[in-house]
Parts: sequence; structure tokens; C-alpha cells
Amino acid sequence: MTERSRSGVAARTSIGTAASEASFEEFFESEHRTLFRRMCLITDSPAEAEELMQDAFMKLWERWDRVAAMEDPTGYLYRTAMNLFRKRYRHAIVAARKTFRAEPQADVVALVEARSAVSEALASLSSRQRAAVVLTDLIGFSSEEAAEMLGVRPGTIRSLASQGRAAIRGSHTEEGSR
Amino acid sequence: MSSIHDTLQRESERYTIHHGAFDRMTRRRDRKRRNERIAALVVGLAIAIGIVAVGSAILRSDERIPVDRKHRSLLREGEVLELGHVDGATLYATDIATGAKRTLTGAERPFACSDCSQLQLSEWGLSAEGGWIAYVQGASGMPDYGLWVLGANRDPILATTEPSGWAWSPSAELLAFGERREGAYEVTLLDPATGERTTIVTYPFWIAALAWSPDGTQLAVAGSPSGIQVVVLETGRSTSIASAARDVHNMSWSPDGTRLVFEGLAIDERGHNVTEPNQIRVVNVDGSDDRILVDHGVQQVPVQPTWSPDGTRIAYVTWPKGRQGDLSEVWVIGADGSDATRLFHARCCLAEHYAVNYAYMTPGPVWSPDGSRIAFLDLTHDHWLSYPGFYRAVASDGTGSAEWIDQIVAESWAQGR
Repeated sequence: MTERSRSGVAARTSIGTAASEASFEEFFESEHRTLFRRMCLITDSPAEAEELMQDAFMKLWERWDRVAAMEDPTGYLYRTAMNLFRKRYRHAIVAARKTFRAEPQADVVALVEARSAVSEALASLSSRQRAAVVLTDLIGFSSEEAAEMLGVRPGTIRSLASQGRAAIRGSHTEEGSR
Repeated sequence: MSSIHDTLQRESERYTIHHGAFDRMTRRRDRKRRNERIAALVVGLAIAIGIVAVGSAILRSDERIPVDRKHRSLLREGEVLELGHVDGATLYATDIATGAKRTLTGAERPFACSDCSQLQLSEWGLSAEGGWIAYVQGASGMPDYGLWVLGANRDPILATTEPSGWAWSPSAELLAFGERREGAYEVTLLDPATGERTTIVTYPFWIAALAWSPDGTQLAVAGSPSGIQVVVLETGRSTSIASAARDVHNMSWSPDGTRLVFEGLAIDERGHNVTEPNQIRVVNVDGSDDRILVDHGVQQVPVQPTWSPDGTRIAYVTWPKGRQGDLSEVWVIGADGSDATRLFHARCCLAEHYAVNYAYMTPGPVWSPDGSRIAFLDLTHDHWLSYPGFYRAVASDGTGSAEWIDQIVAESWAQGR
């Protein structure tokens, strides 16, 4: 059983009208850190990642009774988060928010100072390249599932992910030589 | 060397979220609800003073596809199906000899689309006897997206709004497709003439690709997380094979129906991708002799394997990674792994975006009916942006040089017409 479906099973066992709110909070506690971290990899912005994470959970909360009964609520959570990411990417909000927010600047500066070769490699990629390699290699979605999330063809996902892997492999070499 | 998964996992753990995330989200939700109530009041006022919201409508052509009464097929002898783009996508019947194009209906748009000028078709294919065309219209999330079926004198039939792999039977006018329904994934057979649908199997995983056996009695189904299911249609019995590969796609049966070739990623014992990219693998349909046929390591990515008509060789292309100077190649290899021969290569001269957006536009390398030549789409030259569809053909025995051919010739080989 994948890590996604283990969380899904935990969520399903506690549904019921009286326990609905409690089960959502339990689901949130079990998933939000991981989703946040993965969105950080994709967006390269902790502030952006937290907003996307919050927005995704809020959407699930609105229809929690239905979501909790799904086979894979965690998968639905990630699809929702990636749909939101895709909308933001299309509207190019990311660049504006990174420029004008004081709070994330501090996070970004701190992160840059501590950047490893791997994070430098990830930062050199486009958002879609990072999303493709994180969705497929880290989270375990198929290229078809990832393609649907990003609104592109599966072949595009495979190409993007291949480029992401190449950059990460390159960072291994650089790390070893440091 | 760590796997990509482990590397990304370690990198993600460097990020921490401040305590109180649930409370922050709750406050944000409350703010959003407040704003929505205000917006609803504004909208209510707007309606009260006479502003009406207009929903989307689906345009339908009153024209029907004329039946060519001399043939059962939508296409006449000597014609192939071609995609065109004139204010949105449309399909043509093109005469191979003359290049003359014929629309499939008196009107340009036989499709069901709310804004046909924006119509995009990403996949299409003719049924075994040519009486129907299946096509994927639009993109996920857009209006009218789905897998549709077009036939003579009919409105388009919507097979599914959640397509997940599809293929026409090679021996009957039946369409197999995967679709997501209520959290599970079903393989369904559609008889477009009667509208009858039969669910063959249900899986808990996403269906990535389907491939019919040459005799039309079995279906190979690829999906996440790994492996291939071979389903006997008559009994519904399903056998799992090729469990050492995930992200399986571009599978096809050998002409004699005994083996499958496919692309996939190798996985380790934990189910994580190993560092190497795509491989091309072959496996017997009973699951035996599951092995790697092509693995170029990290230098090249082999994709789109295609059986020769006699089933003794497999052609494939290697993928440019989208960086300037990367190689794009066409190879042929014996089905037993022998005699790997590079037939063509060129340096990729274009920027990353071309590979990202246009990879997998083609059906892959296409064999001529007699197996003597292989056609492929060459995107490595400077003018492809102006003339999409530049094909070359090269002798499959590696002799001679690659020559430019008309796209219509390559399409005729691919469609078997």
C-alpha cells in the first residue's frame, strides 16, 4: 500500500456526521506538512506553498463528507492542490507575490543562504519541470495522472520529469565534488 | 547514488511549517466566506437591475456526415484520415495519390463544441472497418472535453468525459477505453452502432494505456503503480505481468500476439524509480521472459517502440532532452535484442520548449507495409515551426540516407491504408 493510500484509509475510518469535523482536522494534521513540503519543492516559495496548501484543504473542507468517502482522499487533495497551482502558474501571480511580500522574502533569503546543490538544481528548473519530477518521482503519480493535474500531455510530463531528473543527477555530481 | 525519490524526500524535509497551520487556514477560510457573502450581495444587486448571466451552449451542425454508399468506411479507397487546423481543428479525408482533401461533412465542424474555433483534437483514430472515428477533444477541465466517437449520419457520441487510455478493436467495430468512475477505473467496451456499453474490468488504479491483441480477444491494460494486466475479454480473467516496470505506456503486441513491447521506468524493491530514465522492455504475454530490450542509460531516452510487420524487429526513437546539441536518433533492434542499428541521428537545434510541447505528437516511427523503410518525424531542422509534419524515411536495414517524404505517405503507412 502506498503512503498516499495509508492516509486515505485512516481518513475513511472516522467518517460520520458527528465526527466529520474531527476527521477533517485529523486528515489535515496527517497530511498538511507533507503537502506543504512538496509544494515548497514545486513552487520554490514557502509562502506560496502554504497558501496553496491552505487553499487545497479549504476546498476539501467544503465537500469533506464526499471526499472522506473516496477511495483516495489524499490523491484528491494533491489533484486539488495541483489544479490550484496550475491556475496560479497560468496567471503569473507567483512573480508578483514574491516581489511584494516582505514575509516570504525573509524565508527565501534564509533558504538561499542554506541552499544545497540539490535545491540550486531545483531552483534552476521551471515550475512545471519541478512539478513534473516531484509528482512522478517523489509522490508517485503516473505521467498520465500528473499530465491531467498540469493540463498537459503525458509525453510532456515525461519530458519535463526527465529534465528535472537530469538536473538533480547533475547536482549529485556537483555535491560530491564540493 | 541516492534515488531521485530519496533526494527529493531529503530536500523537502528542509522545509518546516510554523505551528498553528490549522488555525491560520481556518481564519483564511472565514475571511474568504466573508468576501464571498459580500460578492453575492453585489451579484444579487446586479441581477435585480437587469443583468443576466449567460451560460455556455453547445453548437451543433445540422449537417450530417454523408454516407459513401459504395463503401462501409468513412474513407474511400486511397484516402487517409488527416488532422487540419483552420479556426480550430478538423479532420479531413485526404487522397494519398493526389493530396486532395475532403471534409467529412458538408459543414466544417462535425464535432460537438461550444466554441469550435478553439477546438483542439489531441488524439484520433479510425475503427477497424473505418465506420467510426474516435477522438479526444479539448483538454481536461475545458468544456466539451472527452473521448468522442463520430460516425456517418450521427451526432457525435460522448464515450466518456474522463478518458484514461483507449483503442479500437482490430477485428470489430468496438472501442475499448478506460475511464474514472466514482473513484475506481473501469475498462469499458462501446459498440457505437448500438450504444451498448460493457464494463470488462474494474481496477483501483489509473489506466494509462490499452492495447488490443492482434486477434481482438485480449486487452493489455497498463496503469499505476506498475505492471500490465492482460485481460481475456470472453472471461474477464486478468493476469498481472511486467511488475518490475512502472509508468508503462506505448505498449503494442507483436504481430503473432505472443509478446508485448512497451516503455517503462525500472523500479526498485520499494517501488521507487531508479535513477536511469525510460527503458524499452519486452515480455511474453504469459509474463515470462520479462526483460530490458533497450537501455541507453542516462545519455538518451528510448521511446515509442514499434514492431516491424513481420514481428522480428522493433524501431524506436531516442528522445532529445530539449537542450541545444542533444542527439535525436532513430534505431532498429532485433526483437531478441540483437543487431541494434542506428538509422538516423541529428543534433537538436531548438530550445527546451519544443521538446516539452511537441514530444509525442507523432505515432512514433512508422514501418512501411513491406518493412523495408521506416518513417519518422524530424523536428531537428530549422523550418519545422512553419511546416509541422516534416517526415523522413530511411531504409530499415541501415543502408542509404534518410529522405524527405510527404506526411500523407507516413500517415498511410501508420493507418494501414
